[in-house]
Amino acid sequence: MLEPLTRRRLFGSGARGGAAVLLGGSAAGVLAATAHATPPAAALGAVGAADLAYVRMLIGAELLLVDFYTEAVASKRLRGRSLADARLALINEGEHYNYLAAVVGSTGAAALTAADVNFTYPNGAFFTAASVTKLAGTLEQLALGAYLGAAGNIANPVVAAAVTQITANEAQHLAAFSLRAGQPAYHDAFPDPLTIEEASDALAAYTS
Amino acid sequence: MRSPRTRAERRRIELPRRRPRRLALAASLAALAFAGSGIAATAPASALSGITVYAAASLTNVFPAIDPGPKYSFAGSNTLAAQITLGAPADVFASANTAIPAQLYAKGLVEQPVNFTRNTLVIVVPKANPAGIKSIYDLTKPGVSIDIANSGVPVGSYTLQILNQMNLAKGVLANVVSQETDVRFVLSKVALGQVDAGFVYSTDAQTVPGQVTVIPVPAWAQPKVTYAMAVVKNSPNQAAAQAFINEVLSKAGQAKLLSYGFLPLTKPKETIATKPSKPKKKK
Repeated sequence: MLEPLTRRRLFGSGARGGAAVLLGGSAAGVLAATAHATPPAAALGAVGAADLAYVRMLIGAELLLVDFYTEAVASKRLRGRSLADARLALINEGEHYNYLAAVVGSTGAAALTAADVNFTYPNGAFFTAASVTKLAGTLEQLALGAYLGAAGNIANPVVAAAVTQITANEAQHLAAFSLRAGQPAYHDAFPDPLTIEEASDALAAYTS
Repeated sequence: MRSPRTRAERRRIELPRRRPRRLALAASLAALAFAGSGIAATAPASALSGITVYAAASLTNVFPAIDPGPKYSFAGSNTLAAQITLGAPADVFASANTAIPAQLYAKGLVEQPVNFTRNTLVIVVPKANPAGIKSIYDLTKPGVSIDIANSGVPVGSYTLQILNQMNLAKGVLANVVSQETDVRFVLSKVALGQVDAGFVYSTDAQTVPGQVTVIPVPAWAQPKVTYAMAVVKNSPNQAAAQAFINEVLSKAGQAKLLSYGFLPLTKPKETIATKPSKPKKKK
């Protein structure tokens, strides 16, 4: 059985194993190896159809981010701090995915998996460190907008709380990759949320 | 050995009953669909010319391209399954889902089904797009007329699955003006401009280029559309029926399915370019 891929395993004594998973793994492999944070079943309660639609869309966003960071690490274009950021972001996105998939699973339905989607990227996206970093910023901006929109609309308090936490984490990723791209770490006092339709359309640009 | 079928039996069983108006629609659509498919009208007879294949309507173009020999009957998978249950003389059953063949297998009517391809759903709108539909969310707007397959047909069931997953069922179903018995009827109504939009398989949309505009369904809401097929248990042509299934599963059969827009059973690993491709040197 795979030991969950955690920050400690990646950067601590098990670093070699964790890095191997990240460097050689597929998005599906990374997800399987990532720690499974799960929502507290007793507290979760009923998740309404509108909430589930948001969760499913966010799962699509997380699968995109997992796929992207998997490719970003495997491209070997990133070095030093940028590579460390990408690895950590990959772990974070995997944890987000597993949490959200558990929410869908709690309703008896099956969540979308990495095997269900083909992602596509702009030509040249993985040619240089700068192009990888730029796309990371673009995708994190998309994710931040999607999560902000969800945070303002999800009714289930447990899921809403988790979505708020994830929003903060995506904002951290965005700040980190903005800095790596030589841009300010933050811009707006009130970043714009995306509607579910806007987020869905934005995701569609990266699926084939 | 099974007793020979009478002409009356053939007429009753082999062609699903449809209203005359729909036959006209289907005929015009079939003409459109076959116009660019490159299927020869006088195809060479194959070793499988003696068998009858009952197949989902979405396989109308690709199965004769894989093997023109068998006699085909295309309709909604649920309609075909009902006919097989009633003893229709099919040798092979190919469904646009895995659930219906599994039910027939559980009843002892077919051999163990095998999965053979996948598909995705799309929205089609008439080329002129009079309702100005740009995304699935536009289907909830008042006044939009939508055609879907009924929930008993796999494509109808998949459509409902998408709408439920996106929490759009209430808004979109309020705009549904008609429901069809198979996916090709939905396609023909949209192509002829009788409705503003419909849900079909992506492979169906490709059969009427220039007639419809395709609007993708978000990947995060796509159902898992897997096709399965099986030899009908009381078929007197078991070996030939199995040979047809083997042909569909073969490298050539799978390649033909891909060329018609169907998806492989497992997602292929994509290679992401990490450096620009070098232009070829001139000698």
